[in-house]
Formats: sequence, structure tokens, C-alpha cells
Amino acid sequence: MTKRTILALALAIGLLGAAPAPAPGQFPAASVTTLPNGVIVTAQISDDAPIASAQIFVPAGLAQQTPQTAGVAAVTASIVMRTPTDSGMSLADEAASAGGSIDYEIDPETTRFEIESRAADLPRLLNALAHAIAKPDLTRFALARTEIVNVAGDDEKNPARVAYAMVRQVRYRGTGFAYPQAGRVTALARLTPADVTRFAALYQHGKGTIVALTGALTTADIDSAGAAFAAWPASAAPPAAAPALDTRQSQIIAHRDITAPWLALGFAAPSQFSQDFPTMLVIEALLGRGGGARALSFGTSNQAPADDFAGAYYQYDANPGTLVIFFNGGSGDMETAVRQAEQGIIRLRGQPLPAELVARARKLALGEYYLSVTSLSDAAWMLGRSARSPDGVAFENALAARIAAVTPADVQRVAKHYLGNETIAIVLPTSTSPSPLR
Amino acid sequence: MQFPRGAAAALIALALAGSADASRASAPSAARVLAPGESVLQDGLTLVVRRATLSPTAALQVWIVCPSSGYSTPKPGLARLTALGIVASKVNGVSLREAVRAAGGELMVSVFPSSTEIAVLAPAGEVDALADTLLARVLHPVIDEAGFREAKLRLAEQQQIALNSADVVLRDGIFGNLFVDGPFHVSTYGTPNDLRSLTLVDTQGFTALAYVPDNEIVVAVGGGLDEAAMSERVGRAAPIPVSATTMPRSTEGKISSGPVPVGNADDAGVALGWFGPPATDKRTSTAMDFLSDYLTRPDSGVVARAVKASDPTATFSGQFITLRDTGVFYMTVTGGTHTSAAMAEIMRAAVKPLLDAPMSRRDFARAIEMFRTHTLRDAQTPQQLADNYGWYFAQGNTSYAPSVTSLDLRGDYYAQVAALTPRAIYDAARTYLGSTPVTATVAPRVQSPTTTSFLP
Repeated sequence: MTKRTILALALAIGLLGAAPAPAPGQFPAASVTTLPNGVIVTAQISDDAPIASAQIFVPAGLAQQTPQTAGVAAVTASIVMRTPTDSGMSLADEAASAGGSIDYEIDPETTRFEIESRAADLPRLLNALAHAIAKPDLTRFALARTEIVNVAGDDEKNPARVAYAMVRQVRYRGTGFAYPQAGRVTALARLTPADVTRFAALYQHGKGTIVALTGALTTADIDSAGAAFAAWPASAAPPAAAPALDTRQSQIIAHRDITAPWLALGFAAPSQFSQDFPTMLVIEALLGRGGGARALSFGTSNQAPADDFAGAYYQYDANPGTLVIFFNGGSGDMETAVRQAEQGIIRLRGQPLPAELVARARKLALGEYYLSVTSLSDAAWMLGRSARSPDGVAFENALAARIAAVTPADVQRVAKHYLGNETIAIVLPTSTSPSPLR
Repeated sequence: MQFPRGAAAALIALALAGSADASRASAPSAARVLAPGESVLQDGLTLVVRRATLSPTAALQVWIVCPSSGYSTPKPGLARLTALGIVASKVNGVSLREAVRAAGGELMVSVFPSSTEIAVLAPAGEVDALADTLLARVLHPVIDEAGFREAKLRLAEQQQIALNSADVVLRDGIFGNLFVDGPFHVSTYGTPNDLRSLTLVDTQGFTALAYVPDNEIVVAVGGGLDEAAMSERVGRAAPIPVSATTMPRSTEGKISSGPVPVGNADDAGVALGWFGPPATDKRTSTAMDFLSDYLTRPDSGVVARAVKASDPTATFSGQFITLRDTGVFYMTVTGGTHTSAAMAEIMRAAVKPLLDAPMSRRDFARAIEMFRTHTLRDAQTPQQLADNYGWYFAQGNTSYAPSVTSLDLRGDYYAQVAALTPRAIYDAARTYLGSTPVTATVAPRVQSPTTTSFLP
């Protein structure tokens, strides 16, 4: 196999874990190999325990759905999990029977399959996953669709997810990311196995596929991971449609069977590979802790209850990104809270903040960034994201340095550029009438 | 295994001795064996430094072995109020909570019946400065008036959440019935009445008895930590040695066979609770951990699956808790549509095959591999690894912690796992899960708008 090795560290002897610990505040060094078909295989080795994690990014996500197939991304991923392996068990059961797990998360432009297992089991599970992605078992279509219809129904009862969907509906009009993440029940009812086949074909492009590995891995394990995806065509996925630009202020109201109103304020924001990304992370810290894009993603390992959403959430996986601030009417005076948030944004846009305040926010943003990587799975996700970035795996450490360099002038500039017209999504109890914002 | 953080930390506490029957006699206490990376300073303070290379964070924790309800007349909530007061009190105008936040870290306070944990998770680059602050504030605790008032407010909020959580009320109920007194008999949160009666002097008196080097371990886990430098740092901060006060024991109660109503909460629910072996009986404790994984792990546990199959809307949880004197195995089901009696029967029926005969070699081989992998996966982050050391220190045996291992699974815990057999599992199951469990029930609370002031 011919490979272009960009950076290979300590790959010499069997287990690579003898790599030195990184300096405090630095991410561990990573190896990166680009296969001839464009698949990027990247790995961070640790010898902390004999377990490992993988995140496989394939280049088809929510944005690639059409109005007629809203929900196909989730159904396809679910079928992959249900596809039998050589043992006859489903992929998910195969992993579970070894004490490991396989999950999926669907982001705006990618689907991620996550594996965590004993390091010795990882190559076998990765191989099984690659086969299931290449040939999902369509006999599982009905079961998978029923599962996703149920999830879509549950999402409809979750006021935070409803509010988030309403913000996306406005901000991503014209793309598949504008629909509810689990899809629409009507579209799901019309979905066919052929739709799944077409969507699964979007997964299989060498360019845009990332295999990110972390844990107690050997050179052979890493090579084996690459080999599992080496046969994919050396093509690139078609780009997702760009959302229709809408600069107007929007307000949408929906009613649901809930006890207290919910509200989400949505703003434009830079995507994760924008030069303005670090500044927006500092702004997010200034506005109050919520979460990052992973907290908003959809999949088997992330179904947070509504009450867990509070504060500013930054969807930076999408292009363009979105900043969403959630308010739960059951936990206080919503009107006052919304006004305070809007006044805060006016202040951000109005003039440079005191340097001391921005310095504190930088610390918070840096802390949030570092603390988002504590598990093998976190590390694999971060590594895969970095490998997708224009900076490559150097992105991890470069982003920390960029956050640390954000100035009050940057904050004002970015706030003025992005935090203009807001989208207001209000979810009211069915029995309530007008908007809580008078 | 150990208590989960937060809500589950709601559990219990108090005193008397071993009415344990002969079949559950403790193994003889062994001389203390230090874990790799563990050291005991001259004043009695214990320190563990452990490398974890993949995360750019570090976990710093101080665990204090102490009764949650105090040493003499039970004062439920005292240890929690004290810890919250310590982290809220200001030195040079800054509290520990503020200092951690300003450095981009997170501070967590967890209180268990027989130990308190004050933990920091922070970017690795902030560790040195935060370690100095954490050690100064916790090893030399000060609680001022303002910190005490803030602690009361926070504890009142936590009580509200705990009192509404069916899972927490059930676990408190299980412990409250398994033990008739001592720190394991009462909730670590206490009641609003308990909170109202606690004073600043109570907390200050408690720190003088509890926060002494013999009771304390400092755990540091992260990449690039220098064991010698951390040891020196801890040594500089260590307090003057003071003799530790004996922990009140919790007396095992007599189990009645009928269901015991233990309160009201947001949901209905039922729990089963059994006594388990002491932590000194490592062979049986490890067997109970295996049983816990096999029966109660979400998704794969036999009982968890039986409950889900019966009612997908019900919520199941359960685990074996390794404790110094008497372990506890419990399972809870909350929500759902079945009656408490029906759910209790579903749980009992799912356990029964393990009591009837040893597992087949094939099933056991598969289950033990799953158990090993689950245990490794559950102790992978700096915080999980540090928690693990702290918990097992509090149970008297740090070197038995699952965290104490290597790539080839060396260490006491995995040696115990390797020695497990279907017969050992069967014996442990029959001895402990074959006895009559406490059955606790909780009823849905009737919503009422009343509030209770907790401030003096």
C-alpha cells in the first residue's frame, strides 16, 4: 500500500504508547496518513489502558437530505448499526458482546460512527463497520424506520429540540439541515429502501472520510484501520447545498403539550474552520455556558432531555454556524432573561469590552475547550475534526493559541458582523395564547 | 464499584456493629499495601499521582474519610454543608469555587455517607496554581459567615432536587432500612429541618475532627504530572498531624420481607437492596462487581433488559457499592406504568437464574470479558481515574482500585477478576442476593406550592 505520511511519530515498535506525555496544555502528537483514495487515517496513541476508540467521519450528514427524504440520514445510520457481521450478530450487538459499543451521530455535513472497545477488538469492529457501511442490510429497513419515527415523535415533545429545529428551519432554508434532525414523520412514511441505498452511497467517498483513532494502538492496528477503508472510491462527496441567505429578523411560534414556554434566540455565527471561530468561542463564554456542537448533534449517544439545554450553544459544525441561546420559561422570568441577553449582545456590538473582562472570557473559553476532551471518544472526535480542518491535526493546538490571542476589538468586530438579526423561536404550551414577549 | 456523583451521593449514615451472619464474615484485615504512585507523607496524608496522557486536562481531588452526619449526635447534611462552606469561603477576596472557575476549570463537591470529595477538573496548564489553592483551602479549611450562608443556599437547592428525585429517595430508603443507625442510615442531604438547625460552629467543629491528614488523600491524575514536584507541593501544604476520630459504625438492621414505603417524589418507584461483603473480602467484592455488571449495566444487564422489555418507559438503575465494612447491592425502577409489586417481581425473576445454578462456562467466559472491558472503559478519564483512587482509599484499600492497572492488566483488581469462576459467582450470588432484600417503594408526590424557609 502506498501512503503519504505527513507526520508519523514513534511508529517504530509494536505498541506506540511509549510516546512521551505532552507538555501541559498541549494535545498529544498525532500520526496522519492519507490513503491513495483520499481517506485520512489519524491516530493518537496512549498507553493508559488497553482500550481504544475510533470516530469514522463519512461525508454525508443532515444537510444532504432533501425535503422528500428528511430522516433518511438517521434511518441509514440505524440500518448500518443493525447490519449483520460475519458472526451473524448485528454490528451493534457484535460490539456490545465484546464489552464495547458502536454509536452514530449525525452532524450537519457528516455522519460519525463511534466505536469504543478493547484495543485488541478495534480492528475487527472497524472492519465490520466498513463492510456494513458499504453494504447496509436493507432487510432491516422497516425496523430502523420504526425506531426513527419513534425518535422523531419524542423530539416533537422536547421543547428545546423543537425550538432548535425552528431556528434551523429559518437559518438553513434550502438544505437538509433545515428539517427536524430525526426527519419528518410524513417523509419517513414515504421513505423507501432505494432512498437509503442512494444516501448510503454518499458515505463512500475516499475524500472527506476521516478515520480518527485514539488509545492503546499498534502500528498494525492503524494499518488495519486504513485497510478497512482503502477500497472506497477516490472520489469526493458532492458539496451540500448552501442555505438561502436570509438577513431578516424572524419570529416563529409553535405550540406543544408542555408545561412552560421555551424560547431560543438564534444568531449567525462563523463555522469551525473560520478565522472568526476562536473569537466566537470567547463570545459564547461571555454569554454564558451552554455547550458546543456535539451537545446539539443527533444520534444514539446524545438524546439530552430538554432541561439540560440552558445558556448559549454554538453549532459550529454547520456552514455557516449558528449561535443559539435557550431559555426555559419554567425556571424563571423568561422575558427579563431574554432582554438581558439582547442587552448583552448590544453591549458586545457597541464598543470594545474592558480588557480584563475579555481576558476572563478567554480563560473560560480555553477551559471549555480543553475540558471538552477527557475521554478516548472525545479525543478521537477532536482529532478527526482537526484532520478535516485546513490546518490538519495542528488545528488542535493552534486553536488554543488563537483563543488565547482574542482581543476586545476582535470581540466587537465579530459581534457586529454576526450577531445582528436574530431568529426567535418560541414554543408555547398548547393551552397558552400569545407570545411571552410582549 | 463506587457511588455515582451528584444525586446518588444522596445516601446515608450511623453506627453499630456487626450483626452480620457467619457466612458473611469479613476477611482478615491485611497490612496496607500502597498502590503504584501512592505515598504517605510523614503527617499521615496520602498522595497518589497518576499519568493519563490523552486528555489536555488534569483532575485534582481531595477525599476526606468522614461521616456525613458528624461524629456524635447525628446531624444529617453536616459534611455536605461543611464542604460547600469551604469552597464558598473567601481568602483574599476569592473563594475556591471562583478561583477554579477563573482558571477555566470545574469544581465538584460530592458527599457520600463515609467520605467527602472536593474535586477540580482543569486544563493541565493550570494545575500547579490550582493545586496550591485547592490544597491550601481544603487541607487548612476555613468557613466564614458569608461562605456558610452561601453553602446553606446551595444545600437547600440540592435538597429540593434530591427530595423530588425518586431514584435518590429510593436509594436513601434502601440504606436507611439496611442500616439502623450511623452515617449509612441517613441522607447525606439531610432535611430542611436538619439544615435549619445546623450552625457555623457545627461546621467548624466538624472540620477540626474530620479534615485531618490521616483521613485525607490527595489524588492528581493527568498528563505531564511530576510526581516528585506534586509530592513536594502537597508536603508544603500539609497540615499538622492530628489523631483521627473514629468513624461511627452503621449497624446492620433486620430485613423485613414486605415493602417499605420510604417517601414521595416526582415519580413512583421501587427498589431492592441487599447487604454485600466488606471491601476487605476482595474476592467476593469482585464477584459482586461482576454480578453488578452482568445484572444492572444499562443496555446489556440482564435485569436492565428485563425491565426495559417489560416497560420501555420505566427507568432502571442499580449497582454494587464496595464499602469498607458492609457492601450494598441495590436496584431501582422508577416511572413506567407497572405497579411496584410487578416491577419488584420482574427484577427478582431476572436475578433468579443466577441463584439456581452456576453460569455455563460459555456464558461466563463471554460475560467476564465484557466485565473487564466495561470496567476499563468506566475508568478512562482523568476524573474517573481519580475518583476510583479516592473511593477505594475511603474503603481502606487504594491498591485494590480498578484504576491501579496497566496495559497488560496487572494490579490487584484485575488479578481478582482473573481468579473468578462460575462457582465463585454462584456462591456470591447465593450468599448475598439469595437473602431477603429490603424492598423500598416511593409514591408520586402530590404537587403543592408550599415552601419552607431554611435560614435562621
